[in-house]
Amino acid sequence: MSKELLNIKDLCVRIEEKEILKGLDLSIGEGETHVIMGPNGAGKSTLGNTLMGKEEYQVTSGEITFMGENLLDLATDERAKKGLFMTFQNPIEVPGVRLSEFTRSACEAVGNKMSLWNFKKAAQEQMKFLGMDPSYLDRELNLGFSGGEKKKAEIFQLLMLKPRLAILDETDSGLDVDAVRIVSEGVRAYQEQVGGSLLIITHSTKILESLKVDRVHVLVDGKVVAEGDESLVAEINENGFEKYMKA
Amino acid sequence: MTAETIKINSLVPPTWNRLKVNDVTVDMPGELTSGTFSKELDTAEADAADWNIETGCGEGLSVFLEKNGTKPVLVKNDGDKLISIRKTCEGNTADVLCFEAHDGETVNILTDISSDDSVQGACVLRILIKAGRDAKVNLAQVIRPGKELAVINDIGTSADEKAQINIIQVFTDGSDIYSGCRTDLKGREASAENRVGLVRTDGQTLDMNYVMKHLAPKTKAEIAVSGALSRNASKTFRGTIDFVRGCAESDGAESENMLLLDDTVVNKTVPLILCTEENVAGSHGATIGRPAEDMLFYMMSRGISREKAVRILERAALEAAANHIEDEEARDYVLGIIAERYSYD
Amino acid sequence: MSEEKTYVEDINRTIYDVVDDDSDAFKLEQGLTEDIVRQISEEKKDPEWMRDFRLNCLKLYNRSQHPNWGPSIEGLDMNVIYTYVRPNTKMQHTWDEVPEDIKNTFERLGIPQAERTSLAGVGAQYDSELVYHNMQKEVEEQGVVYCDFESALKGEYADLIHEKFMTLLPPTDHRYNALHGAVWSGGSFVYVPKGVKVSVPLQSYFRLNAKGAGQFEHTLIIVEEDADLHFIEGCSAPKYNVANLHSGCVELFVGRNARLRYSTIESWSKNMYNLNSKRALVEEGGRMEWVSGSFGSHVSYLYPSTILKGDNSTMEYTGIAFAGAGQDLDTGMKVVHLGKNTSSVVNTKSISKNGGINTTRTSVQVMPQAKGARSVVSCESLMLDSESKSDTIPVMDIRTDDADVGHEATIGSISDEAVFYMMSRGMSEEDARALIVSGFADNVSRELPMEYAAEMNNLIRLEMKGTIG
Repeated sequence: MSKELLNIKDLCVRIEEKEILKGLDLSIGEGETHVIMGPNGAGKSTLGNTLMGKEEYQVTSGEITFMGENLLDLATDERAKKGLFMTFQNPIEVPGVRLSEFTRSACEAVGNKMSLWNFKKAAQEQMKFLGMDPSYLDRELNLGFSGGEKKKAEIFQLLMLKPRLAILDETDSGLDVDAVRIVSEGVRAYQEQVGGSLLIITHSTKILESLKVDRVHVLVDGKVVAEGDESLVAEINENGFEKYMKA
Repeated sequence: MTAETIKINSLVPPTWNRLKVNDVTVDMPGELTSGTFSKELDTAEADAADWNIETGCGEGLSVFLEKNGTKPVLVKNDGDKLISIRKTCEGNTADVLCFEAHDGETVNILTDISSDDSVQGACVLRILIKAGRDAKVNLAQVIRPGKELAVINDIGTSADEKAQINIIQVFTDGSDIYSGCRTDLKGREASAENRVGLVRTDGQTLDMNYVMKHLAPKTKAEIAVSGALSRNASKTFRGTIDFVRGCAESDGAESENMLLLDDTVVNKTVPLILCTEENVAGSHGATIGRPAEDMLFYMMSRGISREKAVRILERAALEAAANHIEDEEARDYVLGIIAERYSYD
Repeated sequence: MSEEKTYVEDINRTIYDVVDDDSDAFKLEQGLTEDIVRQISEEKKDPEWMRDFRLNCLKLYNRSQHPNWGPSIEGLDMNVIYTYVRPNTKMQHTWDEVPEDIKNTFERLGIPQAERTSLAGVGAQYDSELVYHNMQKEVEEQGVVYCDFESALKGEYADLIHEKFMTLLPPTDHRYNALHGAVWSGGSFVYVPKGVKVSVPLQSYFRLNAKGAGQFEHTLIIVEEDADLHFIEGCSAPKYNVANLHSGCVELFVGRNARLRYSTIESWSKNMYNLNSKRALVEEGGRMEWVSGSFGSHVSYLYPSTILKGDNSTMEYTGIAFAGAGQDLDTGMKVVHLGKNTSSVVNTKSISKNGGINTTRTSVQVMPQAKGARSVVSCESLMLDSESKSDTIPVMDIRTDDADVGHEATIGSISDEAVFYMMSRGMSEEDARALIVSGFADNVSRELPMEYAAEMNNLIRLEMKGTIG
């Protein structure tokens, strides 16, 4: 196994009074791609939001370390600066703030500084690569974007910010075949160009078809109940989660 | 007691005086007699100190009623059985009726104010409502006086935790109508609705002051006014949503949809949103203008005259409010009055 | 170019707060008496009609009352305000001749740089008098007049000014118009002849330096038929612990098919009482555009108003007000539709924080003859905490069926979701909130020339500093 990047030990998380994650363990090495699968309500998105430090997700016990450092003490922006990134299921619309302006501020914040000219050039290249009209750079952040455009704009930020670990939270949900293809090409470009690690949270398998996957974890009722290599994806594809849910 | 002029429906805070919306003055005749509205009801004496609830018409009317010696009367309720108060007024009356829904109770009230065209003077009806925990009060009102009777219809309510107060009003006919309504949402998750349908024509006026005060967290309020104005009619609608500090996660909305049918009308709208709390959502929307041509065209293409089409829209504005009346008997009654009014079409 | 940019990015409140020594300045006594008004009139060598006008206004002022609505002005005692402070210099037309200390102030504020890069002409008023005035030759050659008001009263358009002066804002309207009429000093006169389109903006900058003083400049702009002008006004003052008063009057005449854009970025210091009046009269097919950013002052009463007199005339108002600790900003707009097929589009935003109070007061009147009038008003308020206050007080008075009037108001706060989203991309909470607020203010910054938009965004950033924790 390559050098460890993220380590989660016995993680318990609750929202208000409800316990969602109940002792989750997970370890991701540098450059690895992990997939978390599981039925609705298993706690998949809770894991992503907890990793990014969203306020209402209370960690009641357990540890999370990132590059050997305790992540739980860090604010969301500090986690991003350390190299964490998450694509949102429903990216927030921010009126008046342009996609380019926002991405450039974010790039600067995570230490990926470039001149305005270089930024524009890079941004336009990535937009082209993702099949987005570069005029979207001047549009207000996610405002009036279709579902597919929002997801692509998230992948665009992924490619511009070049994080160490990208968490893709249901990035493929609600997309048509073409959009899934473009998004997964974008993710592959991230694997190849940046060499970063991936934690792909999904309940379908469409996006995984063209990606190299190192490890698959099955999450049911707040716990990892099965693990395996890429072949597990095909198995779940065929048989669903029933067998794990009964267990 | 002699005749006097009182100021009611005051806007708080006030705005430019030249717009003449800061309050309205009403000439009150001499002594007003009580008892018209409480006559056939099961009542008890109400302790004025217990019923010190602020109303939409406000202080100006309170002082007048006190001088007039008008005493509040508590109306008893029999479960959720409709309390039906239908009166043909004789003029120069003033009544203060108090209704209380205790914790968990539902009270349904219907009032209908009408008068013969020959009756002159003023009719004052003030309704005070207390809704306890989880209680619900539904008040439906029809106000359709004769040509010479001025009506002051004034409401003050207070809602405890999770209480609901729904007030639906239909205004037609008469000459000058003044309407006030204030709701204090005192308990967490209390909610209130004011829905008004109005038709004013031939120089008739309607002066309204509606206030929703959000005093506790997660309270919800809505004011919706729809109506039509024609032939020298005028209407002033003051609607205030007041988010008081501490009412976090409250939600207040007001909307107005007015049809103006010619250029002799005066339509004034003053929708205030006051706010001293960060975490709230407040909104106001207004659409004011003549009926959409494509809508009229559509109806006319089906053989309906333009005049008839306009009356259909007037009726729709009244029914938009009346359809929200929860109690079936009260709803049928109000819809029946509207149907009768438009029956000769 | 790089130099100007640096100036803009490095801006901070200290450049507004530098106080110059005013001991050399000529000040009239405090307070307001007939003697003082006569002295001002004499100082300024008024024509006779103006002296009489002033004295008449004083009478009106003495009979008038402060309005019974709006924020308190308890802290303002007219008996201790200096109504007239003349800096110790004559008006200059080249920058080099402006006295060193005054020059330094305006240079810190970026006035001469802006003139060199993006303006057709500049006027700079320091306390009661204009100290600098200059306009590009090409613009002058087109017949455009842009000069200080006192010169204008003696110049080519003296009769025109006599005819128009304070007719849009009559001293009988309210107390502060009467006060202004009595003691006005300084300001600008602009005349754009028929058909002339001034391609770059003219600017006036108002600086109130003297402690406890009032500034009462008068701006009169006439844009003739088919002409086009963008006028920018900037205001600032250092902070004192006594009240200062600004009570300017702006009268704008927009001719047939002409267009006037009037932009203001106001960052008065927070001891200022800003009781300002602005009104535009728009003829057939004319267009009035207001862009207004209010950041400063302790108390403001400011409602630019527009009379759409001519058929097919239009108005657009875009404004933002930002109220922080100790500020009570009562701002908004008024419009009267008189002509047929007139239209008004209004977009106001307000931001309240740290106990600041915003009141957005608007009025839309559509008269019976204004057939085909259209009006859309949108008021949005952002509350950054629960110590602050934000009130929206709109009035619509519609008197014709042939009108289409829409109004929308919303109030809300910064969503935690949006802050989390931005923080997840590496921004600090403070930066995320500042960026969201800038985005909220985008409607105004988009309407401003780049230098001014940048200045406004810096003002927002400055205001947003330290709003967390």
